Formats: sequence, structure tokens, C-alpha cells
Amino acid sequence: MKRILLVLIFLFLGISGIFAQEVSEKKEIAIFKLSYTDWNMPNEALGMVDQSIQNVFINLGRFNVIGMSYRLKAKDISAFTKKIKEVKSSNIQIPEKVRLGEETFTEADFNKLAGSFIIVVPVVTYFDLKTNDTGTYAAEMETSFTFIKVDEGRAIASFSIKTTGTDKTDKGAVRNAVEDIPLQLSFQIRKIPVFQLKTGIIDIMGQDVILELGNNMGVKLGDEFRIMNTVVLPSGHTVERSTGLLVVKTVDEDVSTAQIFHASKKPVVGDQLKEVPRLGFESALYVNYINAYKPVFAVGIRQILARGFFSIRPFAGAEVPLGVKDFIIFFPVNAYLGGEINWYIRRLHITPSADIAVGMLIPIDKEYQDHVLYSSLGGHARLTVSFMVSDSLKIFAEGGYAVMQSMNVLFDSYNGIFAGGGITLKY
Amino acid sequence: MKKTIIKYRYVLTILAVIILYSGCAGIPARQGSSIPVSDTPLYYGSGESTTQSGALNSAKLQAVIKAVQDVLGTAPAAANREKLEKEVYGKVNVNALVHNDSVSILHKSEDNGTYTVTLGVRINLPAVASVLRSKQIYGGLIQPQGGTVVLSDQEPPSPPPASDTSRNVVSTQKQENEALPKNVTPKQASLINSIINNLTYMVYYDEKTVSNPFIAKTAVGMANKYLAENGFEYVDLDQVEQIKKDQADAYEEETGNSVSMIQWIAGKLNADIYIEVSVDTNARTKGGKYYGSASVSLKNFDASTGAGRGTAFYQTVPPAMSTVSTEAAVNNAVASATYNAIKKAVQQAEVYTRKDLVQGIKYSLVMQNTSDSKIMRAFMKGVERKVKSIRRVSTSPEETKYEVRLIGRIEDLEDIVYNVADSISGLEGVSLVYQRGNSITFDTGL
Repeated sequence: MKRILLVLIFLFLGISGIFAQEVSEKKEIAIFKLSYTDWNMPNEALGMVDQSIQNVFINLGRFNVIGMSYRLKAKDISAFTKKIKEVKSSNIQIPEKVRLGEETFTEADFNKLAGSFIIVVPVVTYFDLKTNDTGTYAAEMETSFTFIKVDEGRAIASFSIKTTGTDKTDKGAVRNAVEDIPLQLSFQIRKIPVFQLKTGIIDIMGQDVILELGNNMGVKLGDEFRIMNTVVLPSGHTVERSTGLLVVKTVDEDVSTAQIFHASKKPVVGDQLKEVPRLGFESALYVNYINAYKPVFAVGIRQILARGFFSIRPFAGAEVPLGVKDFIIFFPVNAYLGGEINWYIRRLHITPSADIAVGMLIPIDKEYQDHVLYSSLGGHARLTVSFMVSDSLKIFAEGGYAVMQSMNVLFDSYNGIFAGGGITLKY
Repeated sequence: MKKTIIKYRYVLTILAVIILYSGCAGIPARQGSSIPVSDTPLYYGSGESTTQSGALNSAKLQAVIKAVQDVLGTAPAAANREKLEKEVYGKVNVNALVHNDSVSILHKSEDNGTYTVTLGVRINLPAVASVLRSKQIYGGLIQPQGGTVVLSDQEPPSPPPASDTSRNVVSTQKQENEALPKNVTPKQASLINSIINNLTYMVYYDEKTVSNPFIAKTAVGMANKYLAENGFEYVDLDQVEQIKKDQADAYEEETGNSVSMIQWIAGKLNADIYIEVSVDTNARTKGGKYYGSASVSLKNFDASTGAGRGTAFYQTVPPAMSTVSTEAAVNNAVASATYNAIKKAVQQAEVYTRKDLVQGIKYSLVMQNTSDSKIMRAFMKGVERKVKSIRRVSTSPEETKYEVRLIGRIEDLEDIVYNVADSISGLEGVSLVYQRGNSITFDTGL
């Protein structure tokens, strides 16, 4: 018995660390300074991009950003890597099994430990700053990112981000282009499998589940996690299947609470969860019939901010009211801004919302190109009922009341109840 | 004389077998009906981690490891330890090997950022069996041709949870028996397994090849560490050195240098197997780093006969590295090489001993007053039918000596002698004179 117990304890101690990988831990990452080739790029712009990139990695919360004090001094990636390795070498934690004499500590092990970090190499691959006839500046840039796993000496991911910005000043245009980088970069990083959060259910509270990881790893409201079920086939191979979807409704320091959107079997403590990387938006494409004095069809798109929000979410949208008037010179567009409250009942979502809208007349004729007219003021109040067809697609029906009061003779006011439907794409 | 004295260990073994049998007399019945078995047995495990999910996973993993131990058997599980760690425990998500909806948490706590969880969970044995077969890990209930794999529920752990040592007796009994030839009865198999599981090892270094005492102690220390961690009985190095130092004269007197000093000490300390460690080391320095390599050879011997029981060899390739000194690198190389070689050495010792024991445990039977050769011949024929083998070593009117091989206790041999004597006219008055170790002496009463 003693022997069996000892064997068990030994086996257990020896491998208990392996399964720690099921819960993501912070990864060490070193960001090399931004480089560019032959592009006539203002120094300030370079500095802004560089800082913006650093901020993304720091704010994501899932990285320990290292090597900050050497990144600007290092002449090249090799020197940068060498310097970080030197620092890490002097602080290497010899593995327990080596200290116990059970395993040989080889040079490969040493290099693996010293190189147990990822280097990010950002390069501006394209930059252009133009002025148009009206004197507006347009900046366009493309920044590529390569992630190198130092201990293995191989690139684990690579992608490019294209951003544009316009402004009356050149600096403003560049700034606008740079300001677009974080959102895309953050999304692209979260898409890389090795950086995706993996965690588990640690408690079930009524209809909600508590999952490990919170602010400490950059979890945000509205983040989605798939419940993963691994099945062993008779051949011994394993396959992983998603059996449900959870959405984070509250975030604490170490844990988060999530609501079940759907699950083919009841989630239980210990279930494996995997982050669903999304940019953090939902786009609702719709057609509404407005029963006004003169019937109007509104075709539009509503952009809902999903990441960082759960029940109450802001949105902005634009719609074209067709049938208000026959437009030859101008084209009517209503832009609106509002908020919604969501009640989630598994796949069924009930959402009352309201917004205020500004009607505009966009010139079709080139002669009037610079004359955008504000045509009306108004808003909508609606109730939307949507159903999740899949993790990324919802269909919905909605109804409510729309008012658009004319401010211009070129536009006829309309108001009335409306009904319609559409689809929502999550991304 | 010392060589022929049965070791106390065998006596203890026999006692253990008696206890085992008295406690498990109903094993077949239990397997048949009393203990329900299923392919979703409830197992228990405890886990620790810096995250709660990690602790849950570790606890589930521990339950799975116990189940794997039970379906494979201790020896195959130990032999496949590295493969299990790398290809099963380290690769397959533990949730795939359990029924996650059956998790019942018995204890959960957090101390200084370390979470501890104790839970019960139903094991998905068909999944476990499929994974083991796909990795070609066989043994016990896991056979290449397939077959049903079932176990009974474990008893819930009694507090503290870590003290839980319960295991599935039914399945383990079955697995160990399957490792033996079919002509061995379950009772004999139990005896053999019990002896194998209770072998005592003594590790010492070969003084001709290991001149550095630090290296020698490292090598022997690591071998003993492995033995201790895996629950093997072993003789501590200090005991060996003490006897070597204090009883050099006694060794010469008793043996006249006819056996090696190490073998003599092994006998004195009741070791069954002694292992001689030879070490060859190399060191070098390059680019401010220190490298050391070691070739370790472990020779196994039967302590009572001095017969070889195999040699295990391990070489550190690539060499060990240190940023401190060549000594540190060499020491790491020797330690890890020995630690790896001893695993093989123990396996070899078990295989050889098992093979030997299947032929029967060797007993010395002495019959006094054997003047009637016809009666004694009839007696020998009678005994021959009930033991593995019997060989007459010497005979005279005063005394006849036999070497008997029997898979059984010495009491069983005593019973055989009485039974045979009762059936032979003239030997009815046979009586026990004395018994010591594996040697038993009777008076024929002739």
C-alpha cells in the first residue's frame, strides 16, 4: 500500500503542473522598437505608433511586458533578444526535477528558460500622407507585426493592420490613423491561439457561472467564452467540440461572472472555457416599414458596442428613409445615437432601445458636393426581439415609433409606428 | 551458512500473504457479486494549484491516475510512467477522461494563493482504455485485443484526504496474476507478487570505478531516493558503510573471501538484491559555461547466490550544463543518470526474480534417521508430486538433505511432509526437529 501511495503521490507531483496550462497565465512579451524602411514618416508619428502599440499590450492585461529599458537602445532584434536573455539567464529558476537530481539540466533547457519569451516586431510597411483638392489631409499606413517565440526561434504569428485618418492638418490625419491601431491590434492579438484566454468554470450560481480570470487577465464585460468538451474517440484520438456559449456580465479582479447564452448540456464546475476573440461590435442590418402619413421604408445599419458592455449598450446607426420624397439632388440619411437595455433569456434577447436622430441630405450632384444639409431631427423608440441562430448571427424582429421632424423644406416630416426585421452579425 | 538462512523478509512476506488471504478470502466472490463494478467508477483525488481551475484539474487528474494504476497494475503503470506523463496526462484534456458532470467537491480551500481541492469524480473508463490502447500502453485490464474494462467505486477518502490509499483490490489482484504463467495458481501468484513487491535492495558503488566519494554518494543517494519514493525497501548507505568499516575481520572469518564483501553485507542486512553502481564522468568548460556528462552502469545481483540479475546503463546525452562549476554539472549528470538507470535496474531485478520464483521458492529439507533407503525413496517420490521440484543433495543413514522448490510457505512444505509421511508405512512417526529460515529438519522416527 505504501508503495502504491508513494507512486501515486510521486506521479501526481510530477505532473500536476501540466494541467496549469488549462488556465491561462500571463505571458512574457518584449516589444521591439517600431521600425520602418524608406517611408517619409514624421518622427512624432513614429513615436505615437510605438507608444500606441505598447499601450495595447499593456492594457490587454494578459502579458508581462519585459525589456522596456533596452528596446530603444538595442540596435537590432538580435541585440535586443541577447540582452533580455542575459537578464533572464541571471534569474533562471532551475526546475524542481533538476534540483532534485531527477533530470539533467542541459544547454537546451538553459536556452529554453532564458528564451522563454515572445518578441513582437512591429514594422511600418507603408505610409502615405496626401492632401486633396479641398486641403484635407489623408494619412494611410500599414503596420505589420511578427511574433517570434525566442526559445524555438520561430515566428508564431504575423499580421498587418491598415489604418487611415483624415483631418484638416497633417498631424491630425496621422493621429487619426494611429488612433485606429489599438482596436484592430487588440483584436488581432486576441485571435492568436496562444494568446487566447483559457479558463474553467469554478462555480455555478443559479443561471450564472463563475469563471476564473478577471481584470487580472484583461477580461471585459461582453467577452464571450465557449464551453469546450473534449471527447475521446474509440481510436484514442481526441476531438474538441463547443457545447455552449457564455457572455461575461460582471468582472472582478480574479474571477468573472458569465451568463449562459446556450449550452447543449448543463455546464458544470470544471468545464473548460476558451475565449471567443471578437472585435467587440454587433452590426444590425434592418428594413423597417414606418406607417406614416406617407409610408416610409427605412433601410439601415446599427452598430452596437458589445465589448465592455453587457445589459446596457450604446449604439450608433444610419438609415435611409425611402419614400419621403423623390430625391434627385440630395440623398436623405438619418444618423442616430442611442442606447439599449438587454434581457438575455438564453438564445432569446429582448431589447428595448431609444435614440435621437439627425436627418441629413447628402448631395448626389457633384455641384452641391460641399453642401450637406441638416434636414430633420427626431428619434426612435423600439423593442427588438432577437434570436441567436449561431454564435455570430442573430435574426430579429422589431417594432416601435419613429419621429423625424423636418427642419428644411427639402424634407417632409414623418412619424408613426414601425415594424421590421433584420439580422445581427457579431464580430 | 548465512547464505542458506532464509531471510526475515520472506517470513514477513509469508505473513503478509496470510493476512492478504485471510482478508481477501472472498476475492472471487467479491468480483462476482458483492462489489458492483462499472465502466464509470467513482474515484477520488486531491489537487493543488495557483488557480482554482488548476486545482480542480489536478484533483481530477489524480483520480484518473489512480484509475489508470488500477486498470494497468502497479508494475506496468510504473514501467510506462514517462509515456503516461507525456502522452496521456500531459496531452489529453482530463475532462475527456472523466464524467465532468459527476464531480462532487469534498473539500476546497485557499491558502496564500494556493488552492487545494479534493473531489470525487466518475472515471470514463472506455475513454481511458481507448487512450491507453492508442498509445500502446498495455497491462492488467488493458489488452491490445480490447475487452471490457470495469472497476468498482473507491471508498471515499477519510480525512485528511491525502492519506487515502484505497485501491481496487479486485482489479489489482487480477492484473498482477495475469503477468504470471497460466500454470501458476492464484494463491501461488499472490505469494510471488507479494515477494516481488517486498524485495529489499541494497545499492553500493563499485570502488574500482568510482574513486570520488562525492560522486559515489550522489549516485547511491539518487538510486536510494528513487527506491524510497517508489516504496521499495532498501538498505541505507550509512548502514552498509558502517558494517564495511566495523566488520571487515568478521567478513574474512566467515567467508574466507569466497564471496564479495558487498554480497556478504547484503546478506547480513537481509537485502534480496544488491546493485553495484559504476560511474564514468567527463567535464569541460566552454564559453563561460560548464558541462558534465556521466555514463552510469548498474549491475544487479541476487544477494543470496551472487547471480547476476541484469545490467542497466544510462548516459547523459547531451551533457548537463551549469553556470556555476564543472562539479555542479558533473554532479547533475551523475544524479540524473543514476536516477534514470535505477528504474531499469529495478525492472530487471523484478523480472529475473519473478522468473526465478515461478520455478518455486528454494527450501532446504533435512530428514534425520534415514537408514531405510526404500522408505526414503518412496518419501521423495511422494513429495515430488506436491512440489515444483525436489533434488536430493546428500544422503547417509543418519541424514538425507533435499533441495525443494515450492511456490508456498514453509508451513506448506511442513504439511506436505506430514501428508506424505502418513501415506508411507514406517514414516508415521515423523516429527519436526527445527525450522530456521528456509531450512526445515524432521526426524523420520525410524
